[in-house]
Amino acid sequence: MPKAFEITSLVKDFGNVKAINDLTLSVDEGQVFGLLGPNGSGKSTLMKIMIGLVRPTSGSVQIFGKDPQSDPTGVRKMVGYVPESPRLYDFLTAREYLDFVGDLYGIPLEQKKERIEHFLEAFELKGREDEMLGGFSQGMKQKVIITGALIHRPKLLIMDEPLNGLDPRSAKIVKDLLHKLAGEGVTTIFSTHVLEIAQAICDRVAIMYKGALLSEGNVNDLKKMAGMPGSSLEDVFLKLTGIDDVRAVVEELAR
Amino acid sequence: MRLQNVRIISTILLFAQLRLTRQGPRQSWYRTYRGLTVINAAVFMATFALVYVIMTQVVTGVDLGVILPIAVQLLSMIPLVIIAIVVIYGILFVIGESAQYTSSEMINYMPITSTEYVLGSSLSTVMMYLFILTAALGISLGIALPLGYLDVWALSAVMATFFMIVGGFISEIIRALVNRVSSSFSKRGGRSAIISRAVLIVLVLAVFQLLFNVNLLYKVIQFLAPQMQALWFVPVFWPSLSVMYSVAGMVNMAAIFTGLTLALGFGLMGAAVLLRERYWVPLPVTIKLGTSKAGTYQGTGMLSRLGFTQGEVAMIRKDTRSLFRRKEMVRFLAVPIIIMVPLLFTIGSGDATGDFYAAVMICLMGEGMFGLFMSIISLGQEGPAVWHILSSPLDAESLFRAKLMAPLLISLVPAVLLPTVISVVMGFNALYASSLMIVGLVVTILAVLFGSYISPKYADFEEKPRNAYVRGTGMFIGLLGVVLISAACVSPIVFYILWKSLALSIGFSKFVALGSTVAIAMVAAILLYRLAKGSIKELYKHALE
Ligand SMILES: Nc1ncnc2c1ncn2[C@@H]1O[C@H](COP(=O)(O)OP(=O)(O)OP(=O)(O)O)[C@@H](O)[C@H]1O
Ligand SMILES: [Mg+2]
Repeated sequence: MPKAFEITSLVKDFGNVKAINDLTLSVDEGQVFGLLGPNGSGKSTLMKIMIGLVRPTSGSVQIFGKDPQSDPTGVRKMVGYVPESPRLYDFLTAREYLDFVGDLYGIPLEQKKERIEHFLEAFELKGREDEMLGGFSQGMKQKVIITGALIHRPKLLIMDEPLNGLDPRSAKIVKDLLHKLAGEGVTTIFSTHVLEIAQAICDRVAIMYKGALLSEGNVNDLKKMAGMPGSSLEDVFLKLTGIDDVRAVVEELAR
Repeated sequence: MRLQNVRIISTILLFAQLRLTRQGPRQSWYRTYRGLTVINAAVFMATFALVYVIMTQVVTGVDLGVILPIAVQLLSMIPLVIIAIVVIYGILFVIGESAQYTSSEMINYMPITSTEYVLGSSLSTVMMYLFILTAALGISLGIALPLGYLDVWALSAVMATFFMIVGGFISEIIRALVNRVSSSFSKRGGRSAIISRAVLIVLVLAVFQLLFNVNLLYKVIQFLAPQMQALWFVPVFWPSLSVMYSVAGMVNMAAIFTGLTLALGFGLMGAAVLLRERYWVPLPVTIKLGTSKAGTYQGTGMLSRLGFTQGEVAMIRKDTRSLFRRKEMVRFLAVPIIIMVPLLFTIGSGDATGDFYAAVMICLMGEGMFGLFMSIISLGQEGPAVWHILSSPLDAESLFRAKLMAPLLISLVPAVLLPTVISVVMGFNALYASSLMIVGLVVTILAVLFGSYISPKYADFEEKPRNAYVRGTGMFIGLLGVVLISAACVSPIVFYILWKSLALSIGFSKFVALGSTVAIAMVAAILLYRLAKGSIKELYKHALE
């Protein structure tokens, strides 16, 4: 199976904070890969390095054989990116915004039009598309962002907590879409804190902790590795990240 | 009203301005109250020492009778100058806040009253620009002390300090009014609302700028009433009058005008609070654009026929929209306009040559400033949305072309309109009209190039209560640079005039002069183009840390 991306011995220091600590990871084409990990474990940083927004301290990153540092535009043409808590151009209407994004990727007029209309329809944004994004709700904005990441038909999707703020119907659409795209060979790496989502749609998941991979594999592998085959992913996650004893914390907070 | 709240608000707003830098929040010794105190004390001492030395060592020989009236006038004018400067800063910064920021600003959902907010915000403005006041007070003390006017200085200092706070109140009034204009248009909706809103905001700002324009006020004093006393009914003169009467020893009159000044200050504060209560909308309704053009997508337009790629055209289009649609951008359109308007009144003396040179100055200043503003904010205006650019397949070269073209296209409109209108109104002959046009075009292009060079270097992507888009240093260098560049370009023409006035026999034709101007401009343009391109590439490199 050809690899969508390969990361070797990656390190990223922010001053004396090790955001990524000697991380090695590769993902096959057509997989949906889930990235889990507590706050500050380096998920977003890893994704930013992959799209060339952050320069790694050392190590190598190859996206379909291209290095995001030496050939950023080459990588970005193949990638759709959803940042965490993204800021849009609030003064553009939804349609103008998507039009703008489509133009950045050089999509021909007819295709651009057709794809944008499809997404607007699917996400129930029809009728609101000529309003400025400043007046959109959080979830509506998120739908626009996701659309923006998809309209140029990328081979790799890098999504940082993409389902944030989406209603159940739209979340379901995105999940099914990722699944369907995977069937067509599109690779997805996304981070989430909702473990059920990871369990439901990921071919493989990885748990990050303090910038390194704690473990990686499909959900059942993880459960076996943690020595708790019968339990939920949540229990596995809590055990692996060493924070299984939340009860004492809660007791303390509630006093 | 709780003073505690006032203190907290002013601290938050002040630190937001001081500490949010391009490299993220920064903490250093001068970004604290103690640091500010040290800086202001130093400014005061330095300016005082300098002026005192000049007064006692250099101008000793001059007749006191000449200096005294000038000194008194200076001392009395200080509150006026201070308020004028604060109002200009108010126009620049208070209305520059971004809607997204304010809507999530703590202040809007915390239990804080309008009075507390207005006081806190005004105080933060005062603290931020306190160095202007301390410099003015240092200078005036340097003048007052050798002349034995310590008491007058003290009164002037109190008045100036008070008026500085009043300037903060006026900024709050402007902010509330601009907000009011904004929200009334967003209810109406449609594309025309966007333009009308921009125009009306410019008007509000122009009126306030004219009301507090030192230059204009000074002219009023000089021409309408040689005696400032005759203008007792104009409120901004009240602190000056109280200083003048106290110099003249007319204690009663001085007391009356001091009282009036205080009343004016509290009245304006009341007005600011009232207007904020009435018009402040923390979460403005976004303007709904009409769906008349529903279903339209951008195809390839004129620009792509000129050789711009699809992505570049999209970028240019977005930036043009940004300029008119974002309330906080309108000030960049407004400032050159409101600075130029009072100057326009200076031409029309009747002497065609004199008018021509005045027109050249206006075109140089107006178009230069406009071109600079449009380009110097071109990157910073992206704000936190800059990730779009940095994660898009647009490379540095494309970004450079788009970010250069958008401001250039926008600035070319006034660059053509202004000289045309002036030439038609003044009835300039063909030579004057075409020279004016050339000078304007040259300075516009050079200013845009220079701004494009500064913009990536000093871009400010931070979202603060008051968005700047470009750091203060960058703006300063930009303005200075445009002045120098314009000077270099017109120098052959100035040289030509001097040459002619000397009436030397060796010919130096005006065509040589104009030709030299164009030649200098072309060299400068090529140089700046290179620099600007390099500067965007640098940004790309350093953005990835
Ligand atoms: N620009 C930056 N400057 C300094 N430190 C940073 C920067 N970006 C990230 N970090 C640090 O790197 C570490 C990893 O951050 P990152 O955002 O990647 O975590 P995350 O796994 O995405 O967390 P979350 O689940 O909260 O989104 C954190 O300790 C963070 O403080
Ligand atoms: Mg994150």
